[in-house]
Amino acid sequence: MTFGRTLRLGFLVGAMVTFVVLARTPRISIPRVEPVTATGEGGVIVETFVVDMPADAVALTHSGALPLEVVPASAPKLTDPELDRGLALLAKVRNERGEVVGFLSELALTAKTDGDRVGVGDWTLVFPGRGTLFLHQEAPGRALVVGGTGSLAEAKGALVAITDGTKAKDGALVGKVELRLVREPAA
Amino acid sequence: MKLAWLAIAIALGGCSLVGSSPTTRTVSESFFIDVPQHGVALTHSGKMMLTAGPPGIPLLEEKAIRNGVAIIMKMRNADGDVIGFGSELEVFPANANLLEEDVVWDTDWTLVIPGRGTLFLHQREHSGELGPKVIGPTLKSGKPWVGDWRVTSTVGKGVIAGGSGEFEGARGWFIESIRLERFEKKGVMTGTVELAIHRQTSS
Repeated sequence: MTFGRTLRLGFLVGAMVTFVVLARTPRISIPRVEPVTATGEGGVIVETFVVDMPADAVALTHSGALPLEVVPASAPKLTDPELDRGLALLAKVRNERGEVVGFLSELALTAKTDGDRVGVGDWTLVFPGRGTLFLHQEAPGRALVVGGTGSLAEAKGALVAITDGTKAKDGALVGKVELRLVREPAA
Repeated sequence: MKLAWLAIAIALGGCSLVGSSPTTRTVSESFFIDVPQHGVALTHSGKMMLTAGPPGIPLLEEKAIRNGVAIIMKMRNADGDVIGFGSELEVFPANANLLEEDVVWDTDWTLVIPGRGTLFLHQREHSGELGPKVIGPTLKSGKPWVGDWRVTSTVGKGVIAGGSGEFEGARGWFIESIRLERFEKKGVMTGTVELAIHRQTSS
C-alpha cells in the first residue's frame, strides 16, 4: 500500500469515527435568553446582572451565628464543625432589563479558618442555553472567572458585586445586588 | 517507508511517555452525599418528580429557568465525616420525559471543602433506567420503591472545570454514581451519591 493510499484510508477511517462519535453524542435542546452586553474600554464585554433581594433569594443558610435570616426558615443550618463558617446561597439572576435569565449559587467562608482567608467565596452562575461560569472570590466584592461551559467555556474576566443599593433589614438583605461581569473579548 | 513512519511514531510515543510520566500523577478521592440527610435545599419548576424543600422554598418558575434544578447539600468523606458543602445546578432539556426516555442533561457541581479549597465540576448526566425501573412502577403502584439500584449517571467522564486553594488549576475528570435504596411517590429519594474525583497533579 502506498503512503498516499494509507493517508486516504486513514482520513476516511478518521472521518467515519468522527461521524459516529458526533452521531452518538447526546444533544440538549434548551431555550436561551440572548445576553444584553455592552462594550467597554479595550473591547471588554460588560454584562450586568441583578439579584433583587430578598425576592430572588431561593435558599440561604449558614451556621446560625450570622445576622442573616435562613431561607426558608426551616432550612438545615451548617452546624457541623467543619462547616460552621460556611454560607450557602441559591438565587435567581436577572439581566439589566429585569428578566430572570439564570440562577446561581454562592458558597462562602465568612471567617478565618486554617488555610482559608476571610471573604473567600465561590460563585456558580448558570444561564440555561448559554452555559455556566465558575468564579472564585479571594477578596470581598470581586471574583475571577476560573472556568466555564457552553458558550462561556473560554471566558476570562471578573465579576464585581456591587451592594450599594442594599441594606440590612430585620435580618435580611434588601435591595438590588448588581453583578457586573467584565469579560475579555474572544481571541 | 512504512517502517520509517512506524519508527517515528514509536519514537514520538516514547518521548511523550518519558516526558510526562515523572511529572504527572493522578490523585483519586471520593466525596459522598447521603440523601436525604445531607440535603439542605432543593428547588425546580415544581413539575419534576422530586420533592422541593424545605417547605416554602421558591420555585424556578420563570421561563428561562424552568428547566433548572438547584440543590445545596453537605457532603462527607469515605470515613463518614461531614467535610464540606456544595451546590449542584442542573439544566434539563425542554419537555424532558424521565418516565419514558433516557434523558440527558447538564450538571455543574461546586464543592467547598473548608481548609482545602473548592472544586468546580461539569458533566452530562443521564437518567438511564430510572424512569422505567423506579419512578414508573412507584407512580403506578403508589407504594414506595425499595431496592438496591446502582447506576453511573455521568455520560462518559465529567471534567474538572477549575478550582481554588489546594485545587487551584486542577485538571482531570470525575464520575458520579448513585445508589438508590428507596423512592417514594411524592419524590423523596433515599440513597447515596458518590463523586469520584481523579485529579492530575504535577510533582
